[in-house]
Amino acid sequence: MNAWLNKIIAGSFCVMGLLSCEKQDSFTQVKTGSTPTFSATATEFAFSAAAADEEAVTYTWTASKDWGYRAVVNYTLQIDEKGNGFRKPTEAFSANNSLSKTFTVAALNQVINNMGLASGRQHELVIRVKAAVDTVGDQVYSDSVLLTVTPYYVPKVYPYVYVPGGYEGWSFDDPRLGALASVNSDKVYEGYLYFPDANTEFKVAAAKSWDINYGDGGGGALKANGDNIKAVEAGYYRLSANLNALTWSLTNTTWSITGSATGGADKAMTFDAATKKWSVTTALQAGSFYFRANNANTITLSDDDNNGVLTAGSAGVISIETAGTYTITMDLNNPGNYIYTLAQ
Amino acid sequence: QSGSISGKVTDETGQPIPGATVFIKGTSKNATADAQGNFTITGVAAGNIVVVARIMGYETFELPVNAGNNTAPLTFQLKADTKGLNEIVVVGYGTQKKSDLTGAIAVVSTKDFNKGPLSSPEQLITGKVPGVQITSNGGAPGSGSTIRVRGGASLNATNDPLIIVDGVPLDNNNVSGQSNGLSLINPNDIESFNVLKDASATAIYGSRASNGVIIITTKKGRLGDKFHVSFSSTNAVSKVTSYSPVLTASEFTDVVKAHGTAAQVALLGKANTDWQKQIYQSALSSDNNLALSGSWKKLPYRISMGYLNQDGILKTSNLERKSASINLSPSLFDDHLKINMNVKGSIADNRFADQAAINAAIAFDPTQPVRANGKDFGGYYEWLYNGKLYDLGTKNPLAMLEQKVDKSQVKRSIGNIQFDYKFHFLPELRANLNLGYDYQKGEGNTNIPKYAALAYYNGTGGSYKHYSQEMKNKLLDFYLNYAKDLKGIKSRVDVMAGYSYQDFIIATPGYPVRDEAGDTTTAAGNYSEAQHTLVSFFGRLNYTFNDKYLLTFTMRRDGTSRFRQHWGSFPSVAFAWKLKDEAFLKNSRTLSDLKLRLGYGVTGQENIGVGKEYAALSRYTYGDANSAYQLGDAFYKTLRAAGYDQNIKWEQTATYNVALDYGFLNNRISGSVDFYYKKTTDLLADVTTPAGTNLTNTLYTNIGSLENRGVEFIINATPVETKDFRWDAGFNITYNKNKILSLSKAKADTSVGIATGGISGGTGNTVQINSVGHQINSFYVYKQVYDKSGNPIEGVYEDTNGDGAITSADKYRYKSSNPLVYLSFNSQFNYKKWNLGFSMRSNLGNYIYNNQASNNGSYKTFQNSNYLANLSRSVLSTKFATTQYWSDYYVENGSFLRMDYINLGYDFGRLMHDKIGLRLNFNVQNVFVITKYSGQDPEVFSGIDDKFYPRPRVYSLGVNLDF
Amino acid sequence: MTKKFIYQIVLAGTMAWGLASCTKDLDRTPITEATSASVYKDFSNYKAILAKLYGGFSVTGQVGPTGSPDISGIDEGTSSYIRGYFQMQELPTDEAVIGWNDGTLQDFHQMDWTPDDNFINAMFSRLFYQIAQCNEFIRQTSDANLSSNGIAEKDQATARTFRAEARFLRALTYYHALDLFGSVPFVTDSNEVAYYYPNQISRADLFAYVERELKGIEEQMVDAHTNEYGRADKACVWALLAKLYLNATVYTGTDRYTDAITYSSKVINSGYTLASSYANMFKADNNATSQSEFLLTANFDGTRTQTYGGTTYLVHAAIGGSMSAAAFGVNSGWGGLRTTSAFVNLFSDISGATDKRAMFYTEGQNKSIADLGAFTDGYAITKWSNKTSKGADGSNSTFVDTDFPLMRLAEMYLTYAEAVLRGGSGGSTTAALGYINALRERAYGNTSGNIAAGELNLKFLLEERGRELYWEGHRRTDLIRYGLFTGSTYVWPFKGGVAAGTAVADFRTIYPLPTSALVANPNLKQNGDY
Repeated sequence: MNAWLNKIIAGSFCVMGLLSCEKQDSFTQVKTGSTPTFSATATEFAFSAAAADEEAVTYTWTASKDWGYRAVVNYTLQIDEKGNGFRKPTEAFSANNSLSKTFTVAALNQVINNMGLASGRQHELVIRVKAAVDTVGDQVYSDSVLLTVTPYYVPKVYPYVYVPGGYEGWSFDDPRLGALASVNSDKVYEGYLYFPDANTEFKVAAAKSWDINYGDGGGGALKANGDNIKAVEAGYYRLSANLNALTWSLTNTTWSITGSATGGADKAMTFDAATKKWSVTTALQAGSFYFRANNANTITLSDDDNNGVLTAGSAGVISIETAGTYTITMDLNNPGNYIYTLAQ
Repeated sequence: QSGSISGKVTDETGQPIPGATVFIKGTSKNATADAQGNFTITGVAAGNIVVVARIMGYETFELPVNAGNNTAPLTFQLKADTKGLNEIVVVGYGTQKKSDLTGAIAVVSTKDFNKGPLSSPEQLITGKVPGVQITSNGGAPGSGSTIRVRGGASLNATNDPLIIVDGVPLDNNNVSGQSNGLSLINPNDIESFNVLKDASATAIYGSRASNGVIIITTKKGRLGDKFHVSFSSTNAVSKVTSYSPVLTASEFTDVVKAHGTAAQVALLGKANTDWQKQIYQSALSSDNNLALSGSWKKLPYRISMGYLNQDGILKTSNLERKSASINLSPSLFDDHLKINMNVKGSIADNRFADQAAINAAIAFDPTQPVRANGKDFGGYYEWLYNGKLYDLGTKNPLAMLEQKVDKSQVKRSIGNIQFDYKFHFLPELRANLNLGYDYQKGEGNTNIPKYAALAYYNGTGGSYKHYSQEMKNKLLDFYLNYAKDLKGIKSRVDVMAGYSYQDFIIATPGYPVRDEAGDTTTAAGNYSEAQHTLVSFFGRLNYTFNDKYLLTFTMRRDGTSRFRQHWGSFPSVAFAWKLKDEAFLKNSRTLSDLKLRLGYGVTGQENIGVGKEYAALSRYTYGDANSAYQLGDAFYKTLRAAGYDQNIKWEQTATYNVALDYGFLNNRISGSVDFYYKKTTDLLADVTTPAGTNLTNTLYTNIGSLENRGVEFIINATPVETKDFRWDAGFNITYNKNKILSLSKAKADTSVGIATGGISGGTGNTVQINSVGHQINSFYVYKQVYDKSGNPIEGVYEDTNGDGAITSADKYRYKSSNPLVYLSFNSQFNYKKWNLGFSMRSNLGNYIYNNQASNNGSYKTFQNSNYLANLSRSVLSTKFATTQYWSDYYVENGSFLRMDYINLGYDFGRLMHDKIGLRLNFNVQNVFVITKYSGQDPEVFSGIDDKFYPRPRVYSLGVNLDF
Repeated sequence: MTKKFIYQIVLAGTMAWGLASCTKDLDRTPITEATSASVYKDFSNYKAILAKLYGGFSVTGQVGPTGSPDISGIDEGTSSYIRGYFQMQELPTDEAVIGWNDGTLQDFHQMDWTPDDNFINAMFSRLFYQIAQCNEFIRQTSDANLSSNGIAEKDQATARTFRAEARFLRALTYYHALDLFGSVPFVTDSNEVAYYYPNQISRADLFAYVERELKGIEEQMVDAHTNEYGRADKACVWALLAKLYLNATVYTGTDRYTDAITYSSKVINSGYTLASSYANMFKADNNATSQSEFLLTANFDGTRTQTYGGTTYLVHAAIGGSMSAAAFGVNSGWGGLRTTSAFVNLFSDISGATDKRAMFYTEGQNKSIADLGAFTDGYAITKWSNKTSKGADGSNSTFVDTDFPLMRLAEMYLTYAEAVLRGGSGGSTTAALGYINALRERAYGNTSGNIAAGELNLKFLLEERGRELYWEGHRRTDLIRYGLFTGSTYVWPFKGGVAAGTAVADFRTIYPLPTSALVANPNLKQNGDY
């Protein structure tokens, strides 16, 4: 008698126990994965445009595992200057779940240029791979590998917005389509446009499509899908757009050079409508100069690191070692990549 | 004036039985027999008394005595109470002693039935039979249950067992207007359920027996009975005990303010409405039964009438059933001819509540009031847009209930007359002829007035729909039975051969849908009538050797009109060995019974459902007037060729059974263990036809196979039995696992499987799958990833196939809706005139997809343009922004322990000079449920918890009067 | 007495055994349905069956709008031929997006569908259902069967015409299979209704089969413009051939532009004329206003041809946001279908004031799409309507009357012009220019929109096809022919699943064979890289 009663009791307790089971076999919790091992086929590079299509380097890394579940792991290559500790890395490539990446000379050279490093000089950089899952959980990094790179010049690639308008037929396919660049990737864009006609209308588009576009919101404000912005006079304009604050500004400009090399006076530059470049041929004395708009220091451009690329500001002036007659040409057509030439 | 009574208590062989209790019935005077079996009771008043001797293990003996000063000594000779072993059980086409059974048969009779208000017969045996899973189909009145015997053997053909009432096999299909066919039979008229579980027991029924057979017998009058009147009345109140978990008004307001747009915040109301409380009610029911029985001259009879009126806990739902039955069982020609005639009839009037209101109550914005200002839509609040009803918005659930009148009336009559004739010249030969019928007629109306929001959709005219259906089932069974003891060779032979004819007709007229003005808005559908016929020959041989070795062989040859290949054969063989009667166990005092049973059999399944009577034929169907096609200036009702498979045939199930029946202490403890294996081949399923080969994209035909295997264990015991107190207890446990073996006609089945288990939320979305090598209705979902705090990360799943992307190929089979184990425990306590009983049941390993949570449990749920919808409380945990239908987070363990009922009764005995017997009982149904499932109720047969009519808790008081 | 009764019992037993001879009761035939044996003996049934073959483009079952579905296992509205075809031809292109989260529906415009896609399976099932039904009719109306069924000679001639039409419908359906799926299982009327595994036919062989069938029935079809509305004639055969040839390079690798010119010219010269109003072609009474241009339509009727697919879907699904359903003659909007900015940019004037084909609803709608699920992202299109040309509502506010033109003359004008520009012989650029300007004059209402000969080029024609034929089931095929459907040459919003659009792999120019079809037939091999 006791035996079967004990069976009943045991069975009941078993029932209660089963009821309290967690679903252990299906509880998948995210963990921090293992560190990938990173390797490279080359570390020293002297790039030239002639070799642009050649293969420069192949980076490979082992899979990052043990995330707690069978995950889709995404890998990203990060590059920074040596000694920076990857404080502000450039994300050179998003590999998704691949385990290797081959760069051509042109591709890696573009990355270096985008980092703002001067062309023609040797730079010491480090590269590593970051592993992460599904935008959740922690990220893990491999050890870094050294790159010693001498890049050749190519324009930097920045985030762009576009300026379709009457001056180019409102087309995203027209080669005359203007663009603005955000050199700090902070959604503040700037660029220069030539409007040959009066009352030229235009808009700002987030891409080469009308999906997201901005127009005149009145009082310098940008409005999504707003009315056309109008430039009343013909001219060469500086257009800036802040998509954070949704503001815009448009300034009609004329350019000159000034500085000790000009004797302190503004030497006016002439605009070539065909090439859309500014130039001046003038006598210069030994000294330095910079470019400025409308004879004022509100908008100035100079070459502060002496690499042939103009940046905002009057510091870092352009030096004239030998007095003589020079032809100076300024090209502002490539937003974020303003350049000049100096010829005797 | 008093005296004394003395005597002796012995067993059948004259040996004394010490410890037996002897008492005078109705008094507290008693004595206990001593070591020699002697007893003396003193202080006995003179007069007529009844003296009772009782001890466990022996049958109770009552002896009328005229007590006086010099009462003679009494002798009680008690017979061993071999409980259950001498029972007679009903088997196919006859009866047998339980001890002679070779197959797996379970019997539940009146004394073992569940108590309480029962609207449907199968509720009498819920939890009482191992291997039999009975899941109620929700809480609606008359909604009945889904019955599965050992897991069911089919994928798409019916998995319902064959049900036979007094010899008449019922049509498992229901006519329009009723929700459960069995519910038209009054449970109070039922005498016993006999469940045939394995093939050797069911093969005699051949082509319809793959899912088991349930034989129901009804109560009868008995020859010589005095006129007897029995009246019972049970009145009950049902209450809702579980609600679907949703946000309260203040919680909802907070969520909308945090996650909604300004326009959505502006839609919030100021009310605090619990919509689920609005739609549910405490429901009353009354079940009254009157039975007259007796014997008129030599004609035993029983006449019964029943009236049940049951409200549902969902407002407006109601079932009213009137039933009557007559049984006549005369014997003629010196008992050589026994006639048993039964006629049962019932009329059930249903009002069906619109169960979509349950989902509407869960989803409706709790900040809105029940009623709006004004008379539009009958005065109920509804979502508006530009001043008009917003058709896509949630409808007011109370309005849905009150304004939609969905009523039906179903009439059913089941009757048969059975002649059993024992030949005078050859008494061992018996002829039995059974003629029977089952007639059902259902009709109903679904009416929605034009002011109702529900009717807005069809053009504001209202909707008035009528429907009806008629089913006729005719039966002729005839068999000859020859039973003979051949003492010379220690044998007994029992041979039976028979013939059966059954014909089914179902007719469904088409009716138009009309608006309030009487104009037709939807033309009538086509009239449809179909007929199918079964013809069978069957036989059975029972051979017993030395009363220890039992062999049963059956064969049935079945013909069905459904298939071109009409005929199929269904044999079975079974063997039983009474181990207890062997020399080495015969004298054991502890072991009172031990029997080994082996069985093998083949059964079939030809019930492929209404509308498939002609599945083997090329048929053409006219389209209705709303699907006509314009050619030129005329619209033609189209004529469509239907797909067919001329080679379609039965499903076949082969079943193997190994079992032990056991008993201890004169069967004070008894039970059995059964191991079974069932394999079904030629599964009937809807398969995708190879493109272009048939006139349909899916064809109902034979493909594939599946298996069920399991163990059943049952134990019944009487732990305590004294003069005043008796305790009976029963426990049974079943383990069943099913697996799909193949699902294709093609040799190599590389398919992921057949998607099934449609859910709410997006057209065509499913969460279950039937795959080779897996359980039926496995869940097919993504593996959810959780963060370090244990919370699910929205949209993040495991890449199970390792291809680096999350696609449908990453879904995996995770659990199934079928329970692995079901247990049942019931107990009865009797103390003097009181009795207390309860029944508990548990399912283990059944999982549920919580569709309420998956569909309503994301912030996207309320973010509609023009109306708000409430959220499942699960959103408070998951914080999901959008729906994640395929996350296994929503597949929850549905294991539960439920107390089905607890019952307290008091028997007043005979009153009014012995003329009236009175008994009272108080009962609570659905006492409690223990589960970890987060939804409303863990017992969901389909495994998908969506739009579930909750099971109420029912309190009832019953009165029984006997005259 | 007792003996007599015993005798009767024995008699009853004998009788019961005798009943065994009634096993013929097992031979039941349908009571309220017909079988093929009886249906084809009565010629009056033939047109009802033919109506079912044509109706396969419109209705989804025998009960309108839903009920007794043709195709099981799939939501009935979703199983509609026109609805499925639209979704597979338009949603993966620049012309349409849909906001619903039904299953895998948004995989279409994200262009990442898989063989498990339920909507692809629905369309595949619908195509082969249609082919099987046509095969059955063709089989049952063979000359031998017509004779054995006792059909009168006068009716036999009519039956042969019906049979030719059934063969046309089968060819049209096989053309759709060829275009969408490439290499498919192949069954004809010489196969029986049974369970077997058909072989797969290559895309080039299927092209040849369709071509052969169309040329084979040409003489048996009634003359152009002489058949009843909604039925095919010779011009339909020519139009389908022209379309087949225009895309022959895609299907076979060999160009057939000369043949495209030949057959499109036949259609153009067969008596059909452009409808006077572009918008009226897509309204509830288009069967009255635009019959002159429609070669073949899939017919719908709000009262008598009800379905949740077809034009009911096209009208309702395209209404949402602040749009008034009543303005389109229906009772509600289903808030799904919009278009992308790339399509809007095809029109220089989206107001419709000049080019009336520019039928956009912009109020409250963003031109760009940030959220596919938000109806207000993306301009809505108002082309399909359940209003009549006179502004009245259709016959039902839920189910739409508007017929869907499967073939119309404008397509032949564009086909002719493109075949000429692609170097086919037998045509002239002068004629091509005339046809294009005829379309534009209808659209502009005057000659202000006419183009000069120098502007007629392939790029222009692709854009013009977009402007003229949008949301009629042509775009995917056109983009594939131009090499723009995959790759990065032309991207539109959400192409490749990226909001701005990205390149897509070339194997997606053919849809995958559904997994369920592969499982059902081991003889099939999956397409391309799926």
